[in-house]
Amino acid sequence: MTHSFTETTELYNAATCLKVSTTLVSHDLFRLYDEHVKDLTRRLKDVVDVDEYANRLLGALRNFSYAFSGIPLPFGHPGVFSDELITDLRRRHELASFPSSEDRTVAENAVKLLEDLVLLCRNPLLHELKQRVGEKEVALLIAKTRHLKTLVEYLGEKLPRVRLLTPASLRKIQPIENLFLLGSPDWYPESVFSAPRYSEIHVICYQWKYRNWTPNKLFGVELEQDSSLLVRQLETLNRWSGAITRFALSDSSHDYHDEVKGRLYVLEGDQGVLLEDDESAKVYVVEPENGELTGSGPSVDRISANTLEPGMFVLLRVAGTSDYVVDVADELMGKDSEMRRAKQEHWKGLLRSKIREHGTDSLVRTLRDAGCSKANKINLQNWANARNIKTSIYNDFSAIMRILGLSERTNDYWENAEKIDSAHRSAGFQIKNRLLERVKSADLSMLNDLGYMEFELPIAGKASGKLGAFRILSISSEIHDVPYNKIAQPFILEENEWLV
Amino acid sequence: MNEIGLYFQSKTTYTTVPEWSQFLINLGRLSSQLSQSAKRKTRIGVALPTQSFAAAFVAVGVVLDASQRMKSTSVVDHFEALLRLKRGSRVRILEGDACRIGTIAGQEGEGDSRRIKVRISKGRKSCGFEWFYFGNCDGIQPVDESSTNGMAKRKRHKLSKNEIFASTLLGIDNISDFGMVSTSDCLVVTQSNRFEREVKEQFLAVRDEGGFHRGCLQDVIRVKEYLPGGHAYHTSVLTSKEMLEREFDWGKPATITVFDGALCFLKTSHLIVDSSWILLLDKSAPCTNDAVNIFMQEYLKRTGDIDSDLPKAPKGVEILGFLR
Repeated sequence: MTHSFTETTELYNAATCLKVSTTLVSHDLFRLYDEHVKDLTRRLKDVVDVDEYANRLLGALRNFSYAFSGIPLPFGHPGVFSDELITDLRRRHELASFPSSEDRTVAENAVKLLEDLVLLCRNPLLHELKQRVGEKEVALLIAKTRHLKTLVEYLGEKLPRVRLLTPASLRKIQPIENLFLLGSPDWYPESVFSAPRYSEIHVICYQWKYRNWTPNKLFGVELEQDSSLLVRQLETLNRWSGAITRFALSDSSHDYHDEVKGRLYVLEGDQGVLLEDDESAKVYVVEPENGELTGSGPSVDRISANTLEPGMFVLLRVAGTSDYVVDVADELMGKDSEMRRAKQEHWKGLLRSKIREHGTDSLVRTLRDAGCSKANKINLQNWANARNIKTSIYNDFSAIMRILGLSERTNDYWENAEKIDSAHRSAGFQIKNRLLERVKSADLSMLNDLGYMEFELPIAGKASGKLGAFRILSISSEIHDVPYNKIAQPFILEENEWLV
Repeated sequence: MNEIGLYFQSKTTYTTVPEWSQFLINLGRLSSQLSQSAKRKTRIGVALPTQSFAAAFVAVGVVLDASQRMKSTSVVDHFEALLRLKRGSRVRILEGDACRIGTIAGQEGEGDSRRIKVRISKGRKSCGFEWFYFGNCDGIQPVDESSTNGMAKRKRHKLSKNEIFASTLLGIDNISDFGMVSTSDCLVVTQSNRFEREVKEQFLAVRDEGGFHRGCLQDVIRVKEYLPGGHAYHTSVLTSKEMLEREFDWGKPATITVFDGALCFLKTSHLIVDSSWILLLDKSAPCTNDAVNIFMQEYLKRTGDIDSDLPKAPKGVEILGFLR
């Protein structure tokens, strides 16, 4: 959505005379709980080799504080904090070892306070919001977007006149009169206040969370110190390194030969995804109606991951395996799919064994001697990989078969690979068409407002083909070595900075 | 105060364009003036509440200033230049408030009676010739070959669709020079087709004794890519993708390059070093901070300051300028 001249003038006016009002709410029990969690965090922060149960307990306590300090849901809402997790807290506490008995006491008190809050249920943020919602639609901005789906469902039922927005969605909305903002102003990007799309902001925040905040000038950094710019860049880069490492290594069974270069894309909803940093790696993107790029109706495109930009909506599998092209291709191959995949895996498995036995460099030399013109380290690793279907040249494939002792099956395996390749191409075409149908029939206003939306895409007659369209918030410049099975799988980015 | 003399249509009336539009036009003007007088290139960064219409109005300011300096070449030099054109070269021929495209068919005569023969197509099967002497050669201008794609040779086209609008805004009586001669005053690097919609939207007007006369920004800035082939232009537009993907023949760089947004700047600023910059940033856009970081690294290498020369920014807008 682009702005007309009149709307543009309204935006400039809003930037010059924005009114901000603040309502601070109190909650003695929640405040006490928060203090206990901060205390426990401080106590365990500098301890080397913190006990795993203590760590997990602390993580759960912090998540509770993080979630409910900025979203209008009853304390302990199961969509955010499951009943099983609450029950499990006691067990974690019992099993945990703490550096001192005082630490244990602090942790026990925090768990007790959490249980009391859940019993109490009532969240003053929600109560304050309910009082403000009258007959007109109310726009509500939240900084904590991890539980968007739960929020949408809950508010849709309890407060249907609340229009939920995230900071990244503000840029393109049409000018509105009022915006309600939950939490402390310093949780939000400065542009919420410096480039407003509204005349008034009403801040609703817990008293002890509120930080008085003054916007900085964009060009007003310490102008003579280029080191401050460098530090800012490094902080951005390092912020998610821990989360990436934890996610990438969470499954130790992967084959290290199957690692690729991946780049982190930070998504709406406190999520991230690692996408392959390769020209040939493609993803689907959705452009909502009247997008800036096309100016026409909604569209679906398949583009190189390297051309993604912040603000775009990338489609990722949220249920089922990450590679829906494979699933659709199998559907197209029908009853032959299992046989064809097995044949494919047969020669690839043998090739991987050869690599382990002889080493990549030696095998490359052997393949070249056998007449494989494109044999090099990268190609060899690709050919051994399940996601690469075949060599581009028959003679190269023939050389591989010869090395593997499968010469007599060369034609059979080549034809098999071509069938799979053809099925993959058709699958790509079908997926795009199916997606486009779904996108065109969907109400994409939610996608613009919340930066996230799910699409059901039946695959092989099952409802397992659930795709999510995620707004990209930022793109890391760092490249990581990532197991291929972790590519294109959204994961939660740990967010600790809300616990001030 | 409506120093620009520009109005916009608001429901059923015309209202003076707001302060932010006037600021952007003045910014374009000043930047163009500074780039003439300063020996080094200017770098100006502006942070705005929205990207909408920013590049369009800045481009207007640049072209308004540059048009004041369109040199009147001496008739002698102009005629000699025409004589040097090769056979088959395309030329624009002024016909009142319109022009037509012709091709050089040769030269005739000697000394003071030299004349240039121009072939003109006037219909499907008809063509004719016209001759231009020293005395009437100001009615013919060479066409920049880079703008000849899609050119309709036969068609006679008006120099400007909204001539009163354009000439009033430009402050000139006769639009023929402006409409006949191409110049590279401004290059706009943008990501989207928003810019095209903004410059073509007919919501503006100027006022004279006859009342309000409508027009659009394209009437003034004349973006080459939005004009039929052969029309004189003063602005070019490129997407960052085009700049990166193809081998771009820069020729003479534009005087001013306007980066319409953070992403354009991040992707292409390293390609544009021989032009003064105006970087327009939407405070609410992603990557704005990254663009500011790069811009500030330029600032740290500045060779002079120009803050005192810059127009006063309206509230909510930040501006920083320097020399490189």
